Amino acid sequence: MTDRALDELARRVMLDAARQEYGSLIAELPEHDFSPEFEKKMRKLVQRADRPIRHQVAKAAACLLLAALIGGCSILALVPEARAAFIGWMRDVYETWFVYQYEGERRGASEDTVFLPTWVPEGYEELVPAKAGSFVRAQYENQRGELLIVSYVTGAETLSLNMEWEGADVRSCTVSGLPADLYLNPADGPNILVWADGERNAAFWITAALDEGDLIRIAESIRKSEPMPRRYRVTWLPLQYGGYYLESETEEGGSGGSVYGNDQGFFITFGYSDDDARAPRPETSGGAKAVCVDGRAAELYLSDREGEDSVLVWPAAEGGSVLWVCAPIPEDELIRIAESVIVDLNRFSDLITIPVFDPEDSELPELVERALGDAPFIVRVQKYARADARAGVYMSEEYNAFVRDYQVRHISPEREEAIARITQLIDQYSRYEGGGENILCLFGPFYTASVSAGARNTTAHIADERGRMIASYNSGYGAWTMVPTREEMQFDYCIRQIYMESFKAERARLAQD
Amino acid sequence: MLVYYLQMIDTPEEKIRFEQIYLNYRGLMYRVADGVLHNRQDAEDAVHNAFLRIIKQFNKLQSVPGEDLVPQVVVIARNEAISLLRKRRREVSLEDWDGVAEPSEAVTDYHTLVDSFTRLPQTYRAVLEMKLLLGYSDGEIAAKLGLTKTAVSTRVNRGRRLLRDIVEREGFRLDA
Repeated sequence: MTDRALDELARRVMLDAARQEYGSLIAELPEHDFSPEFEKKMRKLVQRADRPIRHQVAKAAACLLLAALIGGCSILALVPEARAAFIGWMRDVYETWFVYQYEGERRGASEDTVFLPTWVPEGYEELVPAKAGSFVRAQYENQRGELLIVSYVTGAETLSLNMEWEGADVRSCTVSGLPADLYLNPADGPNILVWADGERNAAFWITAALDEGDLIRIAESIRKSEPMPRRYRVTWLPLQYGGYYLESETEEGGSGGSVYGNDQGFFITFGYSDDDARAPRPETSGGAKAVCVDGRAAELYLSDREGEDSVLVWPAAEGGSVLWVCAPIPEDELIRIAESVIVDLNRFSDLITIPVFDPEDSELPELVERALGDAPFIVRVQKYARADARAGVYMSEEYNAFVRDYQVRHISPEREEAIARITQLIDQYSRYEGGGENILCLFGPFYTASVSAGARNTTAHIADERGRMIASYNSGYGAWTMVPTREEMQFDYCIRQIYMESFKAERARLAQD
Repeated sequence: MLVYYLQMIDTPEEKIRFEQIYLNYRGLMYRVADGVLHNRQDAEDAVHNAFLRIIKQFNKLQSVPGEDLVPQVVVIARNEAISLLRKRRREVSLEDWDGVAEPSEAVTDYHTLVDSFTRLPQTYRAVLEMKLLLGYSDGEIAAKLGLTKTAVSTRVNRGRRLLRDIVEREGFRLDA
């Protein structure tokens, strides 16, 4: 037997030994009322895990993509006819999808402007403002809770925009003279207006329960915004001091920054501002040392004492902003951090928020309140708890199936159907070479998804109509992961409390008997 | 405290997976740790350390087959508890493998092998699990269990040699 096979056998023995020794506990999966200190510590840990800094890999991938694009463009530049023939958004049909693909020279997304409607119907207020990037989304809502969502993707990073047409009545129309498709919902739900604008390098879609006239009016009112302040972020931090989590993040007007910390009490502060006076310039015995960041003149203030922060201040490549980083680390590492800073552009995944559940949150979502007021349901939960206590089983399979079924019917978003439809396309996209992001718009429920096929794996995310992620796929893991909504987490927590109370009371009663 | 690498959980799906492991198994891990430490506060500390460990090795844990995940988190929790126990008690008695363990000649089938592993002295078992199952370095094991790196290496080699003797004598295969 080889050493490797021997170690594999050893691992098998160890796992089986754990199963043998802890079999009953593993089967029971006991609950434990952890102390508030533990809960607080773990909540912090989970939240830290929610805000990781991004890896250098993303930057490397972007560089490769840029290199590929530059290569492609130089060939097209030599043949004007070929260039004209290949530029523009093309619409194709694949099974139940209309696929809009950009062919031709790909330009990057604007770093400081967005395209936004200058008119929306009365009563709609901006709920989520748009941010510059390759996927831009502005969300409006009226007092009845009806959503109006204006979105677009740029040709540079998005491989395709896919609209599901099955179940919709698709009609042709025009937006400022450009051909457009109107997906009319046969039920009383939102409609979608889709069109591509070559000059703006973008494919737009508007989702709202509005008629054709209003949708076209909104579309034709779209204008380029005034320049917005750029946001910056760090893409590299020195790992030899341990792993970092994002301690805090600020963004206001033209200024912002982030503080990264680790468990050794070590902090790195990154900041930027359009006001040069806001950059920290400490008084040090050596004064400012002249250094270079990406070929630009920068000021380095080395700390006089070990363990104190040194400060590096440099101008943004785009001009208009000053950037700085403060940390008790050597000059070369400060410069490397500075050279890793990029303009922060929104992508599909940045628009998705994963809820962090806080049991101390006293305000219950409406769906959960309704479930807790459903007396027959609560009575059955308590009945299951008492029966389980008598049988000596905590949360029996029958009980779990009952609660799961209720949750799917009353609390959860329509995940299964959306997953089934996106799964159909994952295989298709994973065959493409080169990688990139494909945006998919589902029709009823109006969910949005992205599928990114890379050389090593394929990932997909599904967001509901409010942009909240509800499911996620990674081919490396090989399965979909359900992302619980705030409602689901709160429901699960509240029902567990009710179950546990009845379970414990019954156990106490049995012990007395 | 351990230096850990939260950046390793770098995608939303990994974060969700981590949260699932946390919510599903924290109670179980507490009970396992409490079985070693018999102290609520210490057991909670051990569970916290176990989750830091899980984060640090999250990529490896992602490739663990589903049916092996629970016993693996159990082993992580138990070993964090043992490590804490050794730190709490400054003096730790030396364990003698030969005095406690099954003579290798008595192991004649896979179940006896598993059974005899459960009866190994706590630290011996922890060394082997940390090295062969959880992928700790010798230095990490030494720091966690208060041993020298040489002692760790000796125990791992000895464990492997014993297992090889048994395997070759009894002709165990991986599908045993």
